[in-house]
Amino acid sequence: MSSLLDNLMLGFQTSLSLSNIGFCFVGCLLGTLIGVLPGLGPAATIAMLLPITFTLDPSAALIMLAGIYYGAQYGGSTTAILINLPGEATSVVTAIDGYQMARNGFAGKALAAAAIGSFVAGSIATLAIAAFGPLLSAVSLSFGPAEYCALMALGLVVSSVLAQGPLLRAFAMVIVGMLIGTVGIDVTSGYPRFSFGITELSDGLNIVAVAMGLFGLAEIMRNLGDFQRRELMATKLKGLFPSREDLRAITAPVLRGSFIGTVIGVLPGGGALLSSFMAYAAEKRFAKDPSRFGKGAIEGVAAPEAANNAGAQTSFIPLLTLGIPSTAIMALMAGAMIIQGIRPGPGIVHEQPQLFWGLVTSMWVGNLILLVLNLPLVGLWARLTTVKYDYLSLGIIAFCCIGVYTINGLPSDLLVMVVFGALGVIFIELECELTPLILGIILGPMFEEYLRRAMLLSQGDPSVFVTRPISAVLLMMCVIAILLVTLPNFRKIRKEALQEE
Amino acid sequence: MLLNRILLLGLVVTSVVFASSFAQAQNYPTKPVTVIVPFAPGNFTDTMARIVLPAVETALGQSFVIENRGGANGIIGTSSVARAEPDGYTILIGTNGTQSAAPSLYSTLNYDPLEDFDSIALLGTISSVLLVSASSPLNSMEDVIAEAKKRGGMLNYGAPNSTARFSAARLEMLAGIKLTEVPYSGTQQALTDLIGGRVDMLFNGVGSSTDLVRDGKVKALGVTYQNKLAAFPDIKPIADVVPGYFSYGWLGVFAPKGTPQDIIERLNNVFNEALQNPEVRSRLETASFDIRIGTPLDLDQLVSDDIKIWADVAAAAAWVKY
Amino acid sequence: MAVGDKKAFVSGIGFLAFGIFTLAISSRYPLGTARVMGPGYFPIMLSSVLIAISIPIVLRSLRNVHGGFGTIAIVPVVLVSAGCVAFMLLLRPAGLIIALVAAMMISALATRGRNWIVTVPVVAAIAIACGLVFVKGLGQPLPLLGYWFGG
Repeated sequence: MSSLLDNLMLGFQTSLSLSNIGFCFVGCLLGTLIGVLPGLGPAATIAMLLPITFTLDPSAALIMLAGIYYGAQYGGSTTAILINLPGEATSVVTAIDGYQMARNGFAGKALAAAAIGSFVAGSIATLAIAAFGPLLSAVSLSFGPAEYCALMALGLVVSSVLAQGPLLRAFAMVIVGMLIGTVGIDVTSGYPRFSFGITELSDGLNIVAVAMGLFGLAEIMRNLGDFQRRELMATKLKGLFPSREDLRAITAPVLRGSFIGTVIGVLPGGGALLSSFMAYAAEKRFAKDPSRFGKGAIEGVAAPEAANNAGAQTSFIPLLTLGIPSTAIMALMAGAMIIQGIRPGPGIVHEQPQLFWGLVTSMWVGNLILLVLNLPLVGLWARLTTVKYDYLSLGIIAFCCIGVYTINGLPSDLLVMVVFGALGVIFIELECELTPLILGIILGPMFEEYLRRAMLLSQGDPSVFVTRPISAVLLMMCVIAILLVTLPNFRKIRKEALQEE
Repeated sequence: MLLNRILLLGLVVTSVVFASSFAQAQNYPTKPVTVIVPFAPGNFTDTMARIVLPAVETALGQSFVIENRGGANGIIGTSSVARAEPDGYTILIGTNGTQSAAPSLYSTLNYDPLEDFDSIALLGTISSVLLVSASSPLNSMEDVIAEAKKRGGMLNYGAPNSTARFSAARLEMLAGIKLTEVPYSGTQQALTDLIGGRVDMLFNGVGSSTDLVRDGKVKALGVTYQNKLAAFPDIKPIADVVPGYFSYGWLGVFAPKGTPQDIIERLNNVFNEALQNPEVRSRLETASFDIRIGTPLDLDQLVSDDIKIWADVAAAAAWVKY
Repeated sequence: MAVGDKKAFVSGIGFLAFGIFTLAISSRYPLGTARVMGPGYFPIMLSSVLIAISIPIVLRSLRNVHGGFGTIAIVPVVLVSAGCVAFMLLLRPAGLIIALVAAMMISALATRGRNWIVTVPVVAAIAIACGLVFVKGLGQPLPLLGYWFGG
């Protein structure tokens, strides 16, 4: 325990230096702005700033870059809540209830809940990294392809099971999503699938373009056509801040979300969206009145945001403890370290303790800065929902167009966004859930990759999924999830059948 | 009279054009140069480029701006340079993947590494190490070969990129063994599975291996250079056990074919000097990148030799081209 | 045939059609074995499951009475799509500002009873603001005025 305190003290000495606080502030501010802007993500921003890190000292550089990364999580939820436009693909889950809250006039509450939840989660995650770093790192090492596959399966099953509409249709949407996810070059074999010879399709469909079309554009297309709905859009702000009941209501969800995010975030690849979605699913399952979810439940905003932020921080663990970057952004961080002449690896904790602990403690400092930055802005952001929709919608369209283009500079991404916008309108009208669709698109390819690798490593033996403990547990959870949903139906059918006799 | 005037005009115009292009080469670069890195930022190639380029910028007094054009394993960015103006203002950081491996891996490659590019300078090479998990029963290259023969092709290796595939396929070809390839989309998953003992072995770049070996998480059984590495003084080169074996990745600077010769010479000198800059050198060495100084012709030779080697290995391993 | 649940019916037919389409294409890809799955294995499996699920969806829709369709307003979908496509086509030639204005103005047509006197300046303001933020502020390689104007 005392060594933990010593380490934290050492860390704070570094992170609380005036210049490092300054860099942290710059990073967080930039990150928030980038997160708010659709399309442009923290990866592109960090890449743009890599040359500058040359001239900074290593701690300052890493603290700033890290600030950009988790700052973007804060920003991404802002647009998701206000205009149903996920700034990051991971904010998709926040949009589900967050946007509904905004439409009901509670944008301020949603934004504040997101900020507070993120701060608490960030603090918990920082503590977890400091105290349990090696343990979490060991967790990430014990996840092999079978375990990942089972985890993805759980995510996919849960997304259809917890959908609002009819179960079979939601499940079909998951499958459709997974099929859409196969477009492009198959990573395992290098074979081009569903690309019809079009080069733009061979790298797959840009997921941000898809998300912006399905959620952002579709919403605009639907609203513009309905005069009544348009009138309702300019809402009166009913509550700017969470009330005491609200805060009490989100305490447990935030804690649960933080836990889920901390653990799942460590897992390389796919941690971000999965953890926020699992947190949402958990809250919906354990809520006293699950029907509130999807209509503006504050827990549905706080929990995913907490998971998101916690996951963003713990995703640093594989890089800092093993030298293995777990996501593309971590690879950038690794690159930044190498440019500085520091080699990321297991030895960093011992060789550069002030860098390691400085970075870890700076995450907490950054979260504090972000809370202080974002809370006062809540009022300003929330007022955006009172702008007349006639004009707000145009701004959103401009945002979408330029945002999608800045990702890759490919005009074809705009086409993807438009197509999925139109599809989104059709799907919503047909009561086909969008959440299972997007989860299918994102998780499907990963599920397939891990499935194939697990089968290859087990020499074609499918029992590997149940003989390995973690995988078995996860699959059991899938089965339970399915049963929980279908069993009440059985009981109802039996009751009806008995009555008819 | 008119004919004289026309001839004079022609002479003047020709000399002006000649002089200006000469002057251009003398003054090169007069505006920022675009450096295409055909991979995402944070990638090894990208990071090495970012270490070297500042020294180049200082020497030439113009900015060398990196443009990351990733996709299709570096093919997209590379092909865009093949079609660029050969005026010296667009250059490519190419690798053994984009220049030597591509013809053997892709059936519809829209550029020819030898015909469409002028070599400028080799930057350096990087060796791989054959790793097994700490708990693996294998302790040497001889063990590996014996085990592979015993298991009749069921000994597997991780293949997160084409260099790793190549290293393994070359081993199969020269040692007369068969292995099972387990494709990975990224090194981090491959390393995780290796440490966890789920995959038997992995050819991994030296840079990310040294600390893992030192920490006891993995064992190194052989290096793919033909001589010992400073980073692993105790590990034998695989060539000691399998004669003629070598495999390494390399990075080089290229320009579109037709770039003026003196610009190429100038860039070659500047890059070679940058590589020997002490700060650049030390950072490259931390990443286990081995600097190589050479002429543009040396790089030409390397590319054409490497293409043949890859073609042989691809044929022997019966790789499918898509 | 009186279809009880029209939405379910259309969804089901849609899923069925999509599943057949993907099955037809992916069955041409190498299948591989269970141990070494080829690129076709997974899509074929998914397509089959999709087709299988779509059948009960269609069948059930014939029985349950659920109500008809709401109306989907086609016009906004077409106009907003056209606006975005206009942006895509105009960006390089005409530049960011004009492309954004085009996208917004075309989409604006979808709103009936719009106050154009306010709309036009708002559109201009948004376009210029985007130009400032993305090009000047963030240094994105987007032309403010395209090559028609020598940009």
